[in-house]
Amino acid sequence: MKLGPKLTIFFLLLAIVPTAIVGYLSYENGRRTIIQKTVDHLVSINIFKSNELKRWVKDNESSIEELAQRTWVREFAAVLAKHDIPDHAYQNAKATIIEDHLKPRLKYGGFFELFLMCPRHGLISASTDEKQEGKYRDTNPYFIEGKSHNYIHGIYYSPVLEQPAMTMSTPIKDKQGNLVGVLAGRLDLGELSKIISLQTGKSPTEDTYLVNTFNFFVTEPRFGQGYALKKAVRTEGVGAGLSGKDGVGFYKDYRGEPVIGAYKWLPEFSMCIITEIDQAEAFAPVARLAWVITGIASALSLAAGLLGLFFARTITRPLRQLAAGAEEIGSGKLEQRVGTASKDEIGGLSRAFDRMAGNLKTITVSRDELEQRVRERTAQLEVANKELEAFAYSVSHDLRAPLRALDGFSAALISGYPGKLDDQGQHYLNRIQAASQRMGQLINDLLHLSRVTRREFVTEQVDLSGFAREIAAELQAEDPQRKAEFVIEPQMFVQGDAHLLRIVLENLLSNAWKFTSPRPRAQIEVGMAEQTGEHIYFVRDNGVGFNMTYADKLFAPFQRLHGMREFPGTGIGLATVKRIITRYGGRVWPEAAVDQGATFYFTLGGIHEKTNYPAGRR
Amino acid sequence: MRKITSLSIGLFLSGLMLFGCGKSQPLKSPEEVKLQLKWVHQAQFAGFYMAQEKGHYAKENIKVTFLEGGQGIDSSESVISGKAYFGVVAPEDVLIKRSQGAPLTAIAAIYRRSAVVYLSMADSGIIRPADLLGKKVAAAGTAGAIRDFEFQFYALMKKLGLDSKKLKIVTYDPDYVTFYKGEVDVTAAFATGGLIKMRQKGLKLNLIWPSDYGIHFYSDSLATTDRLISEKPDLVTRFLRATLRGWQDAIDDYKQAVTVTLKYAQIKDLELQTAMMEAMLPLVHTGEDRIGWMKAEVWQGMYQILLEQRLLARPFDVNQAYSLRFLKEVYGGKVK
Repeated sequence: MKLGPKLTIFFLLLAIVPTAIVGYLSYENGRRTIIQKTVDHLVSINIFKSNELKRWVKDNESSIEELAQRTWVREFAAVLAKHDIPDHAYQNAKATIIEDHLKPRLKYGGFFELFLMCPRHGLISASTDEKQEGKYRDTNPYFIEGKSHNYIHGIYYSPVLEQPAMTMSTPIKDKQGNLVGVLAGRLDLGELSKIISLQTGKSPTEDTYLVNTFNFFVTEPRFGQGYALKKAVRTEGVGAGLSGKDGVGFYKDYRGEPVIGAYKWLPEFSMCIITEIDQAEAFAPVARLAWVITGIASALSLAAGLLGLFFARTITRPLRQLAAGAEEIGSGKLEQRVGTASKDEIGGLSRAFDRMAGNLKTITVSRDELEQRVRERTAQLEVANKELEAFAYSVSHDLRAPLRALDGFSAALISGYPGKLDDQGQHYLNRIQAASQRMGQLINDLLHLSRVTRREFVTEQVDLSGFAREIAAELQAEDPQRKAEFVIEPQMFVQGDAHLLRIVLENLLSNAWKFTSPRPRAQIEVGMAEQTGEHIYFVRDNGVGFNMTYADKLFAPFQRLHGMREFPGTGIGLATVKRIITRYGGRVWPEAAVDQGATFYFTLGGIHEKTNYPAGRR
Repeated sequence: MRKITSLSIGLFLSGLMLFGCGKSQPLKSPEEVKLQLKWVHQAQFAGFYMAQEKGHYAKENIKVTFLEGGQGIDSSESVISGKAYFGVVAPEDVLIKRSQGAPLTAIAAIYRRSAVVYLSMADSGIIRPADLLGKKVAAAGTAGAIRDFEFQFYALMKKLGLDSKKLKIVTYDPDYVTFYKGEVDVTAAFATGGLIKMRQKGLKLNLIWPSDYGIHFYSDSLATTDRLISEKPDLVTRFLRATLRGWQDAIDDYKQAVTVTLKYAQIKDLELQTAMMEAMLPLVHTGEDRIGWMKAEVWQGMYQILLEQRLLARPFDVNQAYSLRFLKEVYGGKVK
């Protein structure tokens, strides 16, 4: 991936990851806070409304109690209890109670009907609702219980009133403490509904209602008409509330809507109060929060992405320039300059690059000059070499003719005039002939040497072991009397010019043969050693050896360490070997001591080392 | 190790048993039960329809057939004769038949308040029983449910010490023509029937409830024979349990109960059946005790009234006429 997108993505991630984490955390936090707030709100509504409910009941209870304790009410109630309906006293007492005590109280609200029951049969003797008079309430709990204490007959559906009713009762006692009546009041449930359905806020779904132990709605829920004491409600919240628990739950309400509901059991009324709010509404701020956070996160990410893009550009533009410049310079245009103006590290880098290109230009120019000079020199050298070789060739060639004449005529003298020369003359003549022959040999060797130098390489697989064996056999054949032992390592194959390599081996082996002649038993070894991956070939003998001080001189032409009489030779052989090995890029060196034998080592340079040994070799 | 083995064997065996039970139960064909209704199909029997439609009977492995009531059909006779195992019977019929020696027992009170009400026109000035003196009242009748009007009326007069000779009692007219015309001042009616019809006509009425004057009557009771109770008590419990569940369902959601009722009712009038349902359910679910529950003092009161009115053949122990045994079994002793 390119640096630009990489940097952009990096910046984007750098922005998104923390934003997402912080966003999620603040969303969670916010969500919890909002839900907690909602829950707290619902719970506090329940507490508030149930307290209002209690206060309302308490107020009305106090109100009816106060009525029941009025001296005149007690007096007249006693009259009603003692007398029969047609009696004047009865009618008078009834009228007084109703007109002076019960009816004025209705004006304060709370009750829509107040009535007095006789203690014996629960007969309604006086009521603010005339139609109710004469009825018997002997089986009603508010009569039975109301005889002894304050009692509230919970909310029930009254078939007689054909509506939900809540009746409160209290005993009326005379001065002696005897029960003379039960005062009861039917509570105005409109007020209860007002308390329960009071909207505490602007919430469109907040809904509070009471449910009794028969699972019936006691007050109308917000989204129902005619439900009160006519319709049962069996939701999770109602179930929990009716089992006496206070709490909060997430469940579906009577409409099947998912709501958050707080339920609270009201033991004094055997009802539970439920306050619910639609989850859709409750979670709306949560959803809004999610949107806000997502919006902020997106904006941040966008900004980060743009910034990343911008930074990536500012970073990659000089880099791209640098890369383009490097490309140009790389393709050889050394005069090209990157030329970034920026003062940062990239600017420094490009300036360093420019300097490098400048230096490279200088270096390349001087190298080119040098090469040019080398080429010129080489050409001159080659010319000189050629001239020299031609000279050597023509010299050796041209020298041969007079030499042959010298040799021929001295031979003719020796054979044509026997006895005409004295011994001294004869000796001189012999010396002349020998010298001329030796001169011929020298010229031959020189020619040979010059040929070796000029010969083109023909590379083929060469069996050094085979060559060594052939040469050894030839040497032995020349002097069958000599006792000699050849040890030749088999299967030494190299890639190279067979002719030249044979010359190398011929020279080294004939030297060995020559310098072992004083030994009663010559020992000559041809082998190979491997050292740090390099093949080193050697020819070892147990001959007379030499002093290593003169080792340097060995490979120069015409240099000899031994007298001609002792060991004949031209001093060209090792020079030839050296020249051939040098042409191969190899090395050749001796190891010797006087009378300790000598070993000549040579290598053939890297290329020619690649020998294909047949399988089975160590 | 032994424990684990025996435990696993136990589990295995119980698994087998479960498997066995699950397999054998459907093989036992449901018990066929006939229920004699007190009147034609209408909202009055909504709880039974709900029990049927919601599969409460099927869950108890009972197949229930409803026998429709109507003119000339005495639901108590159907039960006594064995034509039906159970019947929706007026409690006074239970007491009357019992006094005659019939082995009839009420096992639950479906309507725990009487729907009997006496109506006068709102402008008539008749608002309480005392106002009836000298007036013409349409409350007489002996056939079926109508008889309730008569004896509750007499019971009311007696209870309040009013002389029923001082007023004129005429035959109850189910069409209320004489009442509408003003030929009678007061007519008896069922709050679940006539009252609704009259209100639908837009009449303004005064209501005189016997229960306001100490006359406490149950309306529909569920009755069966002593023989079934002794021979198949389990069936009685199961039938009652399913029935009460049906009534609970009807009370919980009366609109659904109306819908279900309309499948059975002859008068497929949504408005009427809804109004009936709304009027009836408070009589079933009174806010006191559990649905169907019965009180000894109410039975005693009914017995007393019937005895005083000489409707019973002979005195007997009223406690024999009803049994709380099955209600207790269904509710597990929880009255409220």
